Formats: sequence, structure tokens, C-alpha cells
Amino acid sequence: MFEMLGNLPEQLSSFAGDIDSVLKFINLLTGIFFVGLEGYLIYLVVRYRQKKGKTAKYEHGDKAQILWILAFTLIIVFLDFLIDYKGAHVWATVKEDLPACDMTVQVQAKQFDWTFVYPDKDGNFGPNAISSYREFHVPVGKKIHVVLTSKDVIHDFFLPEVRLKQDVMPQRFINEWFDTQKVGTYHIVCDELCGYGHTRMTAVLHVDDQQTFDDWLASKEKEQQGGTAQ
Amino acid sequence: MSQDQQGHDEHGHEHQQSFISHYIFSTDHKMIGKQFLLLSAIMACFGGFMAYLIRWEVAFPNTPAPFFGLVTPDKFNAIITLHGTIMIFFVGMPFLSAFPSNFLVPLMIGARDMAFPKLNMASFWITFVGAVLLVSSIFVPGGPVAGGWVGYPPLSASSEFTGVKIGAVLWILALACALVSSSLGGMNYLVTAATLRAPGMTFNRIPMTVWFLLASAITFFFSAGPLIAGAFMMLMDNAFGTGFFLPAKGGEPMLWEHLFWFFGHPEVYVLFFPALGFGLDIMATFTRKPVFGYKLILWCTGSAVALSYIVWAHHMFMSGLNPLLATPFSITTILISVPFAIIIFCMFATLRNGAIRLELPFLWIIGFLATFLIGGLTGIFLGSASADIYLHGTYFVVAHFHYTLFPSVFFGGFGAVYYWFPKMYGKKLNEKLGFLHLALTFIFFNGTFWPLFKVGMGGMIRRIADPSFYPQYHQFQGLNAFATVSAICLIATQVIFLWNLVLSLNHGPQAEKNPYQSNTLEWIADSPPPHGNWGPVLPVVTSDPYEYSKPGEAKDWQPQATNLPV
Amino acid sequence: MDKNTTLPVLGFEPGDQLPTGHYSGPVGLTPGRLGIWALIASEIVLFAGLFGSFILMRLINPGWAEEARHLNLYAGTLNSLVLLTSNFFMMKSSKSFVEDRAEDARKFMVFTMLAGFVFLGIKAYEYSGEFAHGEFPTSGGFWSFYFLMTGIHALHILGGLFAIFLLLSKTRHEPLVSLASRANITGIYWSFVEVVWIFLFPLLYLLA
Ligand code: HEA
Ligand code: HEA
Ligand code: CUA
Ligand SMILES: [Cu+2]
Repeated sequence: MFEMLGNLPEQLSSFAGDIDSVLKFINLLTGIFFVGLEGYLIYLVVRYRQKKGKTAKYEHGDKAQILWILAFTLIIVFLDFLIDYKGAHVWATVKEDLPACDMTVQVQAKQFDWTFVYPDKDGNFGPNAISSYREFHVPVGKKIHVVLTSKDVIHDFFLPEVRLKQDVMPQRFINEWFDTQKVGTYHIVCDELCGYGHTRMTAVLHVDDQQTFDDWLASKEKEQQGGTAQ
Repeated sequence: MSQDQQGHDEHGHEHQQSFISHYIFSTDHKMIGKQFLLLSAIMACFGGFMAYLIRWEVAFPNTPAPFFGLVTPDKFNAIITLHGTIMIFFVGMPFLSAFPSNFLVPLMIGARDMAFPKLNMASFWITFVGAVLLVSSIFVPGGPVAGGWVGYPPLSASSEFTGVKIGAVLWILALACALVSSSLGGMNYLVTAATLRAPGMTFNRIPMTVWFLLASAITFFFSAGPLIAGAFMMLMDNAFGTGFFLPAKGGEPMLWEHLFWFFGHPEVYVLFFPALGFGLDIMATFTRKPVFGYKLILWCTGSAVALSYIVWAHHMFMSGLNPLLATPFSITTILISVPFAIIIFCMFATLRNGAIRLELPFLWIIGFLATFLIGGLTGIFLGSASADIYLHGTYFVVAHFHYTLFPSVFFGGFGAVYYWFPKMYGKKLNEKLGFLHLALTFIFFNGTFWPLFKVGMGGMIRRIADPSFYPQYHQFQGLNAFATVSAICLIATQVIFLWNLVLSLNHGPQAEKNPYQSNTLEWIADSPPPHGNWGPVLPVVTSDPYEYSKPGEAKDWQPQATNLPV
Repeated sequence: MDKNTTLPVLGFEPGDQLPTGHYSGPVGLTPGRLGIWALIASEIVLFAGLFGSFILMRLINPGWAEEARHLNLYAGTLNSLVLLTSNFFMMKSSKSFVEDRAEDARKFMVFTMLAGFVFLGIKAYEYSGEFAHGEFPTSGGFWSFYFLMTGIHALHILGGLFAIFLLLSKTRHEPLVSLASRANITGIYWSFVEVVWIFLFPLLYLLA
């Protein structure tokens, strides 16, 4: 139970650590209960197995023991709310409040690929917007606002290293945000069954330094204009 | 009974007909229970075979599976969908709810049959038709439905996205059959328990098995309606081209998600409560102790039922639900740990100070507790909305729900079968084979699903046919292969059980009336109980169900009814 | 034989002398009546699902109000009255069962069924009018819901009519008193179908 957290992918966003800390906290609590209760179960079964001359104790639930159970339950209620409390903060950061972002990108999903649309110079998603197919470039350290939309069925935008996940609903625009802390290439997967091509509906997240990102965007723009000029 | 035999003698030439009315269109609750058992066993073979194909493809993608061939992505999607639907609706429901409710409820409350035997028969045949529809969808043009057992639209609502049309319609019809049949069944169990209890069977003398089967029926009863409504809409979308769930036609896919999960979450408790009930009864018998905290347990069950209706959105944290709703739903979800914790503690308190006979049914129940605990605790991870941001849709969820469903349906269910088999058929199951079955099931079950927690924590997502396509999952190849080998062994292990059934039915030693010195009413009836269960005189209940080891008594048990020989 | 077994024999083959068991339910409730209430409870949840979905979608789509105006309000109102009348007849009939007036019981059952068929006829007339205007279940969200909900309701009417028909045919060979409880149950079901319409009608027709 404890060692599995070692499998978590690296933490790319500023809130990845927060989510992991919730995971670790729950893991610790449930781990204690797991070890304690499994141990107690084995103990009880071994300790109280039938022996000659010993009969079972006739008890329906005496007050003292029930009070013990209820007292123990209070602890569980307390722990429950502790989990909720810890989680609520993290949830609010990731999902409820959309902070001021440095950049907006539209993410369009369709069976079975991803298109990332960057605004044109004026910040519009008009005909001059730049679209990138299956490659999502973002500048490192910046807060990115993503607008998720789907053309056909439900997909799901999952960035494991960022710890961001959101279903992409058809004909709706869902706003999410994230940031990145390290340059590198990371994974984007579709985490909702969306048809026979679901299994291959991936994309790549490139976190570039600002210079590389600008160059990439410029070259993309040129490529696109060249494409439309032809 | 004597009536039946006379009938045979006098109308020997009509033997064909009486075979049909006895084994096929029977209205006897015990026969209907056995029919449900047989149906679930057959469907479990389908579901198990599909589990094998899933595991094979995940561990060894793009290599043909023995006995099947290559599992292509479209086949894979169909297979997981059928696996989920079959296991939940055509194995879980009949095996854990319908079979024991039919067989045990009248026996344990001292009735002669269900309140509505004909309706009871109808509910079996409706399930049967559903099962046939579902299985037949494998053979129709376009193939079976491939949208996941949760059937999210638009994918599942229009053939335009998957190319599946007939299969999708058949799937919805099968689902509807299962829902209607279980509703009718539930109504029957409720009315039976409310009106046909033997004299003296007051509410606080009803055995836990019956209480939990009823809790399960009630939970089902009040959650199925919306999904039946949703199924109608889905059917119209698929068959007639309406757009209830298609945004392109002004529909709303989230509506289905709400209708589905408003049912779907209570449904998982429908498949969990019966196992608790069997567990408590079996524990009392083999610890030779009263169930600890009878009333407390019932209060907890009641609150769990109530809570189960207000947690459904925890399946939809990532669906684009208003984010402000997540925290309230997290709170209700995690709060469900409280009633279940109390019930589990009461079980522990029942074990404490007992004189435990380590017999087979009891050990199955210990297996159930030990494994379910893992499933329950991992539910807390998912219940926290913020942790679910990462875990939703990963193999962690798959591991969680197999660690809850498999223990309930199979550890709890097999415990019940081993316990009540002598009553059902008047024969004893072979103990040695039983222990082997238990030990291997326990080992291989954990071997199959424990690694999947790690895989899921590592971020591997559900419902992908080809993990080898993802370089980041190559590190899990070892774990996945291990899980697959265990799963194959797990499925193979079940052959021991089927073999044991066949062997014991034909050559098993004759069972006594009451092999475990148990108190509840069913052990007063003959093994197997005759038509009408009790002979001319009804049992008159004079004591609580769990009067074991009462001080000052000569024997350590006290049958619930004393007016009949035990 | 147990003295307490006062119930009529349920579900046993003829020749079987065994009573189903000891009746231990609440006073005055037969299994049949409890059963019908349970059935109705589950139906209420079903209709709650339908109504809830409709109201939700209706709130999202204010435009549906306009489409609701295309419904035939007169036919709808008339149908409400027809159902009310039919319920009245069914009540009369149930009463005649208790009072053992066979002629009346049959007569009122026939009236009930007639009213039921009139209801279905008017509904069919409405549907055909809507089809003529080019409004089909596929003509958009409102129409999908309208046809689905009225369709499911019509299926319930058919089911009710079938139950009444069975009861009617039973009165030929069985004494009325032994059917009284069954008549009562059928009546309860029939009123439920009526009540559903009472909710359905304003929701679809009047909320324009
Ligand atoms: C029998 C079936 C069963 C049972 C009993 C449960 C029980 C629980 N489940 Fe599970 N669940 C499923 C079957 C089941 N589940 C299925 C089939 C799915 C997936 C469907 C799909 O998507 O295909 C699912 C998915 C699922 C999700 C959605 C995951 C996702 O898709 O993102 C969530 C989220 O909250 C969840 C939570 C829980 C919780 C909190 C419980 C609780 O009831 C558990 C309560 C029990 C305990 C907690 C143990 C006892 C308590 C103690 C020992 C005290 C100590 C505890 C604390 C300190 C907290 N389940
Ligand atoms: C009760 C429910 C149940 C049960 C028992 C199982 C049992 C198993 N399941 Fe399944 N599973 C689901 C319900 C269940 N599953 C659901 C709901 C899904 C989600 C589908 C979706 O995503 O849409 C799923 C998905 C699912 C996946 C994920 C697929 C994916 O996302 O890509 C995997 C992968 O490993 C898997 C594997 C297995 C395995 C190896 C078993 C093994 O435990 C199987 C062992 C075999 C048996 C137990 C049957 C043989 C037994 C007998 C022949 C004896 C029968 C006798 C009697 C009944 C009397 N299942
Ligand atoms: Cu797109 Cu899965
Ligand atoms: Cu749930």
C-alpha cells in the first residue's frame, strides 16, 4: 500500500504537489486502518478459534463495547472531515478558481485526435488562429488557460505529470488552467472511452523555454500562412 | 410433496408436462432461486472468458489470444462493455440478490412461498430474455455495443460514432429487462417479508441475511426508475434517431450521466449488502455467538441506504459538473465510511470472545472481509475530489471496484453457496475441493488486482486496448503480465468449483437437516425443503435468531422455532 | 393446520391445500395491496426521473415554451376530463364489488374501459395532428420528450385497460366478493395512471 505512491509521475505543475499530498495523506490514514484492521482480524480468528472446554461468550452488544465502537467512530468522522478539508483547498485551487493567466489555448478534441489552437496576434480565435495538431507547446513557468471542447463525443484531457484531468464535452467550452515548472516533453492522453480509436488518442505536451516557444509559434504561423497562400 | 408425487403416479403419461412445470415454468421459490443460480453460473462463464480476453490484450497486446484470436481495439471495447454489463447485471444481480432472495427469504421468515409466485417466475424469465438478448448481440451485424458499461452518450446514443446499431439497441433492451426484472423481484421480496412472516417472527427476530437482502432490494427499487426512464430515451435515440442525449440535436449527455449514476452508485451497494448479510449469519453460526449490535447494524444499514442516493456525482467529478458541487459530494461520499466502519466493527466484535469453528463458509467470509476492506479503503481515495483529479479513469479505479465487487459477489456469494448448499440440494459439497477453491481464489484474486493499484497510481488509464502504444506504460509490463497470469489462474480455479458442484450433486454424501447446529428457520425444514416448505404445521417463532451459547443451557444453540422437530 | 391462516390461497396449484403462510403484515393490508403500493412507488421514481429530466432540459431551453404552444390544448383538456370520468366509473365499480352487485360492477367496468379507449383515441387524434404538422419525436428536444412521456403514459393506460379486462372476464366464473380485493387493487392502479396525467398535463400543455 505504501510503496505504490512511488509510481507517481513527476510533478510538473505548481499544484501537482498539493494533489500528491492529498494522496499521501489518505494513503497514510487508510494504510494505518488497513494494517490495524487486517492484523486484528487475523488475531481474532486465531485467538478465538474453538478450544476444548471453552464456550463462546453470550453477548448481544453490551453498552461499554458499543460505546467503544461509537467513540472510535467519532475519530473516523473527524478523519473524514479532515480529508474533506484538505481536499477542498486543493480542489478549489485546481478547479474552482481560474487565476489570471498568461495565455489562452483552445483544445479541440475529436475522434480521434487533439488540435491545439493558439490565438492570433490580436488574441482572437478567428481564421488567423494558429492550430497545432497533436502537439501542445507551452512556455515554461506561465499560467495557461485551456478551453476544452469536443466536436463529437466525450473525450477526456489528461495530463498525468500536471495532475490535470477534465472531460471534454461536445459543444461545450470548459475552462481549466495549469502551469509548468520544468522544460521537457510530457504526455497527453484521452481518458474517456470515445470509440475504436480511443486507445491511440494521445498527444505530446512540449514545455519550452520562452524563446523556443516563440520561435515555434512563429514558425507554425508561417507554415500556416504559407499553407493558406497556396 | 406427497401431492406432487401422487400427481406423478396418477398421470405418468403426462410426465413431459410435469417436467416443464417442475423445472422450467416453476413457481416454487426454491426452484426459481436455483434457476437464477444456474443462469448466473452460465453468464459468469461468459463474463470470466471476457475478463481473460481483456487481461490477455492488456498484457500481451497485438498477440492473438488463445481460443479467440486477435483482440482488435473495436472488439476490445465491445468486450469490456459486455464484461461489465454481464458481471453486474447478469452475474451479480442474479447470483447475489435474486438467487438468495428467492431461495432464502421465504425459508428464513417461515413462509411457504413468495407473495406473488407467478410474478416471481416472470421476473426470472425476463432476466433470462435479457441475458439472451445481450449474448445474441455478439452475433448481429455491426457487433455488440462498445461504449463501456456506463454507456456514455453521444458515443452510445448513435451509431454514427461507433458503427454499432443493432447491438446498441439489444444492449439497452437487455439492460431494461434486468432493471424491470429486479424491480419486480424486489417488490416481491419486500411484500413477502412484510406480510408472510411466521407467527412470532417479529421485526427484531428477522435474520440479518433477510434484512440485508431487503436493504438491497429497497436500494435498488428507489434508484432504478430514473435509469429505466433514461433507458427509454437512449433506446429512442438509438432506434428512432431522437436526440435526448445528442448535443448536435439539442440534447444533453450529462443528463444520462446523472440518470445512470443516480442508479449506478446505489447499485454497487445492492451488490454489497447481501454479502454483509450472509457474512453476519455465517459468522454467528461459526463463532457460536449472537451477532453483536443487531439494532446498531440495522441503523447503520438504513443510513447507508439513505446516503447512497446522495453521492452519485462522485463518478462525475471530472465530467464538467459545476465545480462547486464537488466538495459537498465528496463529504457525503467519504461519510459513507462511517456506517460501514461500524458494521465492520460489529463483525469484529462478533468474532471476539467467540468459539470459532474454522469451517469452509466461515473462511470464505473472512476472505470477503479481508479483501473488501482494501476495496472500501481505496474508495476513500476516489471519494476525495482532489485526489480523483488524478485517479479518475485510471487502473486504480479498476482495482478499487474489483476489490469491492469481487469480494462481495464471489467471496460472499460462494460463502453463501457453501453454507446453504446442503439445504438446497440435500447433499454436502466436498470440503477438500472447497478449501482448495478458497485458497487458490484468495491468492490469485489478490495477485490479479493488487498490482493494478500500483499500475493505476502510475497513471495507466482504463479501457485502452494497446498499452504498448504508450511508452510511459512500458514500465508496467511486468506487473500487467503478472496480473494476467494470476487472472488466468483465478478463472481456471473456478473450474474446481464447477467440478465440485457436479461431483457433489451426483455423489455427495447425504446432508443432515441442520449440519451446523444453526438456529434460523431454514434449518428446521427438510433438506431440500419440500414444496410448501414446512409440512402441515407452520413454525412458530419463539426466540431471537442468534441465541448461541446461552449460559445455563445444555446445548449451545436454540432453534428459532420450537414447535417443529429440528 | 395453523389457526392464523386466514388468507386466501396464493400461488398454489389447484389441489394443493397448503396456505401460503401466516399473515403478519400491517392490519388491513393484503399482500396484493402492499404489492400495488410498492409497484406504484417504483413507478413514481420512474416518472420522477422523466419529469425531472424534462424540467431540467426545459430550464436549459427556454425556446421550448414556444413549441409547447403548438400542442392541442383543447384535446388535452378534454382528455383530462375523460380520464377523470373513467376514474369515477372505476370507483363506482370497485364499490359494487364490495356490495356484491354484479350487474353494476360489470357495467361500470365497461364504462371505465370505454372512457379509457376514448382517451387513447383522442391521444391518437392529437398525434396524427402533430404528425400532419411535421412534428415527430425527432423534431427536437421538446417533441422527443412530449412523445416519450405521453407514449409511456399511454402504455400505462393500455396496461390498466388490460388489467380491467382480465378482472371483467374473471367476474364470469368467480363470485364478486372474492374479487373485491383485486378490484380494489386495479382501481388503485387506475387512479395512479390518472394522477400521472394530472402532473403530465400542466407540465407539457400549460407551461407554455
Ligand atoms: C460493491 C461495490 C462497491 C462498493 C461497496 C464501493 C464502495 C465505495 N466506493 Fe466505489 N465503485 C464501484 C463499486 C463499489 N464501490 C464501481 C463498480 C465503480 C466504478 C464504476 C465505473 O466507473 O465503471 C466505483 C467507483 C467509485 C468512484 C468513482 C471513481 C472514478 O471514476 O473516478 C468513487 C469516488 O468516490 C468510489 C468511492 C467509493 C466509496 C467512498 C465507497 C465506500 O462505500 C467504501 C466504504 C467502506 C470503507 C471506507 C471501509 C470501512 C471503513 C473503515 C475501516 C473505517 C476507516 C475509514 C476511514 C479512515 C475513512 N467508487
Ligand atoms: C461483479 C463484477 C465484476 C467481476 C466479478 C469482474 C471480474 C473480473 N474482471 Fe472486471 N469489470 C467489471 C466488473 C467485474 N469484473 C466492470 C463493471 C468493469 C468496467 C467495464 C467498463 O470499463 O465499461 C470491469 C472491467 C475490467 C477491466 C478493465 C478493462 C479496461 O478498462 O480496459 C479488467 C482488466 O483487468 C477486468 C478484469 C477482470 C478479471 C480478471 C476478473 C476476474 O475476477 C474474473 C474471474 C472469473 C470469474 C469469477 C468467472 C468464472 C466463475 C465461474 C464460472 C463460477 C461461477 C459460478 C457461480 C456464479 C455459481 N475487468
Ligand atoms: Cu478520445 Cu478517448
Ligand atoms: Cu459510487
